[in-house]
Amino acid sequence: MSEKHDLLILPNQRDSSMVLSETRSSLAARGRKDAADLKVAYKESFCLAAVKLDGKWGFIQKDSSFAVEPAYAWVSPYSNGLAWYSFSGQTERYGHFISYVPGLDGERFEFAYGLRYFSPAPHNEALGLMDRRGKVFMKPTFHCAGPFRQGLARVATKEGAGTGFIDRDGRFKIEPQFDEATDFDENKSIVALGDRYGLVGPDGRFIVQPTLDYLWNFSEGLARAKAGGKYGFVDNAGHFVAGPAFDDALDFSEGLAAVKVEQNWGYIDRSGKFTIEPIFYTADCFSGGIAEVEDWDSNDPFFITKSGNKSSTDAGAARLDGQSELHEGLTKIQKQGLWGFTDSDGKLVIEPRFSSVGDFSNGFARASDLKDLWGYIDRAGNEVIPMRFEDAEDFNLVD
Amino acid sequence: MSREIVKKLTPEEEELLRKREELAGVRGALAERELELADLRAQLKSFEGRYLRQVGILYAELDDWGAKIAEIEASLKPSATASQRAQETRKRAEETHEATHGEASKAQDFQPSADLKSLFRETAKRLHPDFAKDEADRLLRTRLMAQANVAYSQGDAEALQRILDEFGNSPESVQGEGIGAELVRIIRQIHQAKKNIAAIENELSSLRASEIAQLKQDAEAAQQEGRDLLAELAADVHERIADAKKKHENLAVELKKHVRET
Repeated sequence: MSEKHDLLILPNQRDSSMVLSETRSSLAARGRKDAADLKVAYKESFCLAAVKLDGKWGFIQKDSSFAVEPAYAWVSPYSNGLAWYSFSGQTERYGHFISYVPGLDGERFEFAYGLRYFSPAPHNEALGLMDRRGKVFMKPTFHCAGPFRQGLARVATKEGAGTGFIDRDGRFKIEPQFDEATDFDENKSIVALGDRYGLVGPDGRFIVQPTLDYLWNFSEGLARAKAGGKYGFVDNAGHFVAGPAFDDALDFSEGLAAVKVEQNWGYIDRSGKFTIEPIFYTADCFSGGIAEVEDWDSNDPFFITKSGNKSSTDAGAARLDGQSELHEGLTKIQKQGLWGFTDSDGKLVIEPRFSSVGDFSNGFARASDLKDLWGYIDRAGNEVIPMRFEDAEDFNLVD
Repeated sequence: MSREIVKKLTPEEEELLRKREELAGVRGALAERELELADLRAQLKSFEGRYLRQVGILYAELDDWGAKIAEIEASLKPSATASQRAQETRKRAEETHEATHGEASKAQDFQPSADLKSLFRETAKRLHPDFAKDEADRLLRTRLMAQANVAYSQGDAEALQRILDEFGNSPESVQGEGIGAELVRIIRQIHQAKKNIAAIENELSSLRASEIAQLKQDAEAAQQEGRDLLAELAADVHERIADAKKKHENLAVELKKHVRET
């Protein structure tokens, strides 16, 4: 096909095959193929783990080389290709500061029962952003910062200042004004003005005016909310679909939510109708079709099905099962104080010889020796990255 | 009590009114689709220009080195297959060079303003060939519409305005005919415009499925991740050019030795 055909054609020529010449089309295809190959290599090269060496945090790649030299008092996990960092502060572990919130030393503190990944720095203008190679993307600017979610990150410029949201270019998309805020999830953030809670959208407009006593994270499209001292559930628009009429409540799980009426727990469906009458002393969320409850007559918890009947599942055994989760086909086991791994059939794959281990993530698991130095092992138990770090986190693909 | 004298419309006049309204709606829809198409074409053209300048010319250089390597290899170990391979590689290198250094690589960035879009929409609405009265009118509108497409892709608002003015002043735009004739003309125009809207939809789909549109989409997705896909591709091809140069250098030494020995 000749080069005379172009993207600009006369209005009465609608032959799409005439849009691009074969050579140019195949050039574009070539770029796409190379880009796809690059993406694989690129992603692999940006599978990073945070490690602590000589008191400073940095990020290593799977070949054990440093992608980001250990120079930071604190680093956050990467989100949208960027990680928060601070050069100062007494910090303990990756992902969260300690010791800067009076009364909350050493704790990640909770917001609305959802993990509140919010990192108060030791002083104002302590937190900056770096890219995947450790290049400064934003100099230390903020006092508090959260991860990027839906392109927006929660920040506060200084202690006591309101919380707002910045975009990836560091510009405020939602001006700092909230006393509390959660990361964006499904186009909404739970925010507080004073002691009143509401919802805002990514454009900063209130979806639900801050009038509620409290608002928890959404689960299965409904959020627990407290108004006038009673609990209920609201939809995305903030309308109560159940209550507020309960004395306590847990999140929806598998279509049902545990709610408390006076002293008794029962379960409601999404319309607020009781499917299991409130007769229990304690109740937990449904998982795998069963929920753990305790009645008033015995001290032993047991499981019930969604119809409210007692399940044959043994609560004690189920709890033990819950502790041994499979990660990439392997699960941690402890024997005489040392950790190893078994496969899904319970067959020993890696002999217990480590003081501590993490779960397998992207082919590697962190493991520490008896001197409490951390390195990484592969699925055969080989020490692929020597144990020389004071602390280490899982390998994760930088998004 | 006042009484108004209202002229009762004939059924033909009523039908003409309805059809005029329908035509106005179709005109708007067609103009909107034409704008979308012009926009997509211009966006792709602009992206392709950037791709060819940033990455395409490097592919051309890489292919040239590939051809040089194949030619030396054919000299070192002559065979019909080696010779054919050398010819094919050279042909591909020439094609890549032609494509990456041609007109397409000169396309500039395209960021139309809201005013430009609005002007184009108005132009498409008023002078689209589908609304021509006769063959002469259709030819004029086709020429002007093509010029409008070019002006839009170049972000040239003045040229668009000139085209619109030229059409406005042309005698072909003057109306005046009997009800029956007008009704027939409008019905034909509506039919033609609807057909054209469907054709534009098809073309939009084809364009969106084209390799360049897909590559543009990949680049946009990478940008969302904070990556510059074209820069990454360019860096990758640069590395491959360096490897090819080294390979060529070694083969050239080998060829020299081979020539000396024979």
